Amino acid sequence: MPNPVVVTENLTKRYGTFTALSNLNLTIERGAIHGFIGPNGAGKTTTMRILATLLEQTEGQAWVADYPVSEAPMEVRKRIGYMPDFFGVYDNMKVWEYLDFFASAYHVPMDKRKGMIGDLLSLVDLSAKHDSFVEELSRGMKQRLCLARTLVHNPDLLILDEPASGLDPHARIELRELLKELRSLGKTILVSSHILTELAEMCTHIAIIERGKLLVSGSVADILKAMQPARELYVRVLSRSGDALNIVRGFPTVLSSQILPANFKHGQVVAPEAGAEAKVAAAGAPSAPIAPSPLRGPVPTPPVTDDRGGLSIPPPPGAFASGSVMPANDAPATIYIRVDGDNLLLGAILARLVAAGIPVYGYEEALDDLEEIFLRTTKGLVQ
Amino acid sequence: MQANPVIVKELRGRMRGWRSVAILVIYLLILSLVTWLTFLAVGSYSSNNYYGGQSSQIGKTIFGVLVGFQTVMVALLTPAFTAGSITSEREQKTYDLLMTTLLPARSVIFGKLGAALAWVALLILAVAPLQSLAFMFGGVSPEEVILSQVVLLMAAVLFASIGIFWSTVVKSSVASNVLTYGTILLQLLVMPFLYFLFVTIFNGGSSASGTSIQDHASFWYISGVVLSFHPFIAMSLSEAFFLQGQPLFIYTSSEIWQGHSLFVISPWLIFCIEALLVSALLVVISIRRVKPIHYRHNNVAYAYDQAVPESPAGNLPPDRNVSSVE
Repeated sequence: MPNPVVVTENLTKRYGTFTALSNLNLTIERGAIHGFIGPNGAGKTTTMRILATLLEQTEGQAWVADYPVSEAPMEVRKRIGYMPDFFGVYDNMKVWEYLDFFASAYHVPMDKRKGMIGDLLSLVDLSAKHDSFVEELSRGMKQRLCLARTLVHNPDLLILDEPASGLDPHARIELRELLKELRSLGKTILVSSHILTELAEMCTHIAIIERGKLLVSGSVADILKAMQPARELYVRVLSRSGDALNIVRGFPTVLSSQILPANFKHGQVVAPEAGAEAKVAAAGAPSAPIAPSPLRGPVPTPPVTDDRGGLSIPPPPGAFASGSVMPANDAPATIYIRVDGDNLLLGAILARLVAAGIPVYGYEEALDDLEEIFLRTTKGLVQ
Repeated sequence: MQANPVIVKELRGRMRGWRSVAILVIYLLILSLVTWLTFLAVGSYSSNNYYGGQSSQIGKTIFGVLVGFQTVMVALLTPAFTAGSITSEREQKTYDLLMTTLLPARSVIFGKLGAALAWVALLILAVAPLQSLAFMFGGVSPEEVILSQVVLLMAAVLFASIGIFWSTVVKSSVASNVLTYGTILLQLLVMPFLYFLFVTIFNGGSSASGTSIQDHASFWYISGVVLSFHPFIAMSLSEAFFLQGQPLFIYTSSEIWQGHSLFVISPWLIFCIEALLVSALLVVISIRRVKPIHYRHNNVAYAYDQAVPESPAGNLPPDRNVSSVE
């Protein structure tokens, strides 16, 4: 495994008696997009400013590309591109002059600058604005220009503090795509944002920080796995839902299972439409109410929406209220399965259903999103 | 070797557009008007009175008035170019961007200072055609012209440094401007006033022993140091000594302190030395203040302005203790 780009060890920052950062131990892998999540005042900006050599820690140490930040700041600066949460631009300069100034400030040789500026403007889609004054650019364009500025010296690590703040949705999408492209170019990116769905779209790793303490850090997949020990599946069958349920219950690692009511939509039982025949299938009645997940708490969780255009995934049903319309055995139905097992086991369940002639037409696993992870992790901490 | 990027940026921004041209034109128009009025006034006075060497008197007066006006303009304009130099970076949120580049703090400060001085030097040199009128009338030696320009330039360095210093101390450009002009006012008006007040009070009555403070050599030396810190007084005194036939730099005189011999450094030279020392001190403080991180460990202070180690500090996780640099 390549060396991590950033390592912090017991990083602490105090302002008088106030501790902004407390014993932060963070590792950022090379090539990752590491989302830095936390409410205002959590210590995100403090951490980023220390890594950017703008602030000295009170205790502990941070390394960027193996260089200790407080001992070799110039070496660190060669390897980072920093974009603060509130940044300015020199309005009286032209776009190319702006990049040229920073390139010369990073000691980029003069003969390389012209080509480099053209490439960077092309990357951030500002080639047409090469000779425009910076003051003529929109906020989104200025944001992209500032991002291009962070790249003039070809750094290993980009430290982006709330890069999407103040941008309209279109500009946000452009920025997100740009960051993905930068990652594909081999850059490591540490990015903070309040907009968790945005981070979820692009981050490979996340770190959640609150009141100066790191609560969780690692790859998104690992954190999801750690946070969600039991896996929740939704299997859609065209008919024979009762038979399917019996097969599923034959697996010892299945913690619970049930047929969802036909009128169970968006996480709750909805009133049947007028004139609709309500058929209650005896075989499909819930075997036992599923206890609410201790992580989720007693409040029903809102439905999870797949942003990629997939199915809307309802949350675990729990005990259904009266008025639930259970599908007949010969009608299409969705079976909820909570299972403690790996992918092989999930495959085995599906294979058994198919082998038994159950007409399975859909299968989906409910995964927590970043928002849920954040809320769970900071539960009781966020005011 | 490339030019300081900050100078290039500052000059590019400053010289772009109509504002810089307008300032230069207005500045020259004012000085031209002053020259013309001086010529009319002195010419009229000379034609009504007998004056030996009328032409040279016109030349000398024009020269004196021009230098006086230039001093005032330098005192007014120079701080305007530097008092907001660092505060404006903070205000427009570009300070952090600048601080994370590879530019050392001294490059930022010297860049700002250099750009301001380049502009002021342009203002000083642009007056050369008007100064040449004094030559045309005569009565002014090349030494006097060079001396005045050197003093003006040193005054500009001092005023610019004061502006830079305050811009690193306070957060807002308004506060920085107020403090800068306040400091210059202190130097140009308050200090001479306090000096003359002090001399008047302590020289008014003789002491019990019948001696006054003027009977002490230290009084004359301290007076020289204090009064020479004012560029206009320094130039006037130097001019007076020069017209008495004294050398331009260092000499011994028995005319200042009657009957006693005094070692004299020409006031303009004292001003230049003082201005240089104070400016250097202010610039050093400014550089220290601009650095985003001040190390508590002396043994790692090399990292900012000197070469950093070629190889990484060690394998991860390294020893947290700061390794000493022998």
